[in-house]
Amino acid sequence: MTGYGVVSAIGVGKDETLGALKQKRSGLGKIAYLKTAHDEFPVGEVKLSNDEMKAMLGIRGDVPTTRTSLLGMLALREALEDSRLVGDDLRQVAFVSGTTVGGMDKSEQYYLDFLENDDRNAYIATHDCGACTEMIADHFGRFASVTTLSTACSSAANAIIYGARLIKSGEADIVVVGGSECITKFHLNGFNSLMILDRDFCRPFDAGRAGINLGEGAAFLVLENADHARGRGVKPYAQLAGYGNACDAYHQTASSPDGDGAFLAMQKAIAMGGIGAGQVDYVNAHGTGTRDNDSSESAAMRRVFGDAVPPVSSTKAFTGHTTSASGSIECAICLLAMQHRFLPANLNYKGSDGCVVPVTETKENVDLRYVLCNSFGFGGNDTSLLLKNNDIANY
Amino acid sequence: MINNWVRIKSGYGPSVEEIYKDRIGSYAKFYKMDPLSRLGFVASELLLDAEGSRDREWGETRGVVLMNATSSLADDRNYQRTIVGDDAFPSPSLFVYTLPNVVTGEIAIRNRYYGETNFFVLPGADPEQMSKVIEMSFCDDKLQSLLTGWIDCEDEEHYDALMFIANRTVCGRRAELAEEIAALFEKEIKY
Repeated sequence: MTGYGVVSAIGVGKDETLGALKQKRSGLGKIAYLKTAHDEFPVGEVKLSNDEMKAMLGIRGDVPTTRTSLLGMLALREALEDSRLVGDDLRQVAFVSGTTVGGMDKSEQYYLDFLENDDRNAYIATHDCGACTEMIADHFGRFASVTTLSTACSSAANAIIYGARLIKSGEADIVVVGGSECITKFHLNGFNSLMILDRDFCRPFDAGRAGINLGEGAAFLVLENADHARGRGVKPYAQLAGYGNACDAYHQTASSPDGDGAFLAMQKAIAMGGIGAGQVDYVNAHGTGTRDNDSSESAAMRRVFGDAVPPVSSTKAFTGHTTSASGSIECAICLLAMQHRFLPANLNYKGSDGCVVPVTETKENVDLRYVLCNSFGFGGNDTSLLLKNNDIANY
Repeated sequence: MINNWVRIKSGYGPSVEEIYKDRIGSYAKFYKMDPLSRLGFVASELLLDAEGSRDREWGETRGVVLMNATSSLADDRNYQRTIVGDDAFPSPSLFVYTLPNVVTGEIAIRNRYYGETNFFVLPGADPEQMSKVIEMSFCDDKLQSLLTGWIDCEDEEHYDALMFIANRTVCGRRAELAEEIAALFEKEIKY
């Protein structure tokens, strides 16, 4: 992993994100940018209007874009700069992005107009998930290939796996992978239908947890094989040492009580890394704050780690649940934690009802060699990524 | 090429629930399902009884690929009724069935099939298009057989399922497969 960029409710870019994490500054608040009647739900919005993002990106105000693609462009710009990729370099790079909501924000805004003016409304063409990825890519130039993955909340994590497999199979030497998603009425109302939105700030793993706060954002990571990175003279932040994906097949939306999918995903990732479970120094949990997820994920972690569960935190009380983008945003948080030697806190935690007990304060001066990052999607599409810190030679 | 098939259609014979009570009767989840999933579940149970394949562990070698024209409209309408009115609250149990591909999952979970699951919403029951989708599914080398067919449920009173098992013999014989599917659509109800 030779570069990354991140945008979420806690900041645009790595520096702002790092500052917020270390100072325990949450990005959750009252809905300000999404137009909805449901202002009772706190959310983690990126504190920028679409026009402000367009100005930052040098895009003319009248060019049709979606919020998902604008967030993606901001994150991708940082990732490319970080990995020193410019212009024609992109022709060798496969681009893979995860999203599920895609351009739904504009479809909600213009739906009635679609019915009347279907061939004249520019936002019909920006609706689908693939169109958002294309828009993000086109802003920077021509990539070798552009792919969109859509597996709900594990989309970005699965985009990372897909990119790694492109490299392993020799289809690509270098890929840019991640995901992007804005908040829309579509999924705010959907999660509300499932009665899993919390009217207070979310409290992952806490006994009183009552659901999710939605978030939004994007993150992209540059992955390349070691020879390619050496050839370009770029230094890796970390290595993707393993990954696992498994499906619960238990319910359309809820996780299985024993966390079968999560257990298998973590077990596979650790096995691929060639390490023992005891060598994992930190788990960035999926930890949405729903009753089901946190108890199921806790059960899965106990199956993997036994009595010796490593330090765990969910960073969703910082960012909100950024759905399809959460896999890469939380991967970026893990990379920051490794690089700057700290454990991010699990905010709003008061006490256990049997779930794992998370880290509640930022812990500094911690060497993190192996970190596990979990992302679980509806239907129990569960993914776990194992990151290895290249700066620590021996443990 | 098609040896085992089932056809259930509204207006002919007993209702889906009557068939369930009469022939299956021990899968409580049936009553949580939306009309499309109930139809697909019952058809698949009868089909697998006919195939006599219950004892085999199929794993990744069997997939479920189904097609229809009305998506999950039956459940979508039922769900929409729960949104109307000021005091209304959208029903979670109906919401989770507002996608047509849930039925493919129900069947795969019930029978521990780990192969491809997919659902296609098409303009109509066109045997040529169906055979194209079926043949294409076998591009996956691991797949040995497919529980597939047409399963349309506009509402509790209007439905039509033609479900069958296809195997790799269909590869390269798309026209023949289309003829067989067309012939089955002409036949009587069978369950």
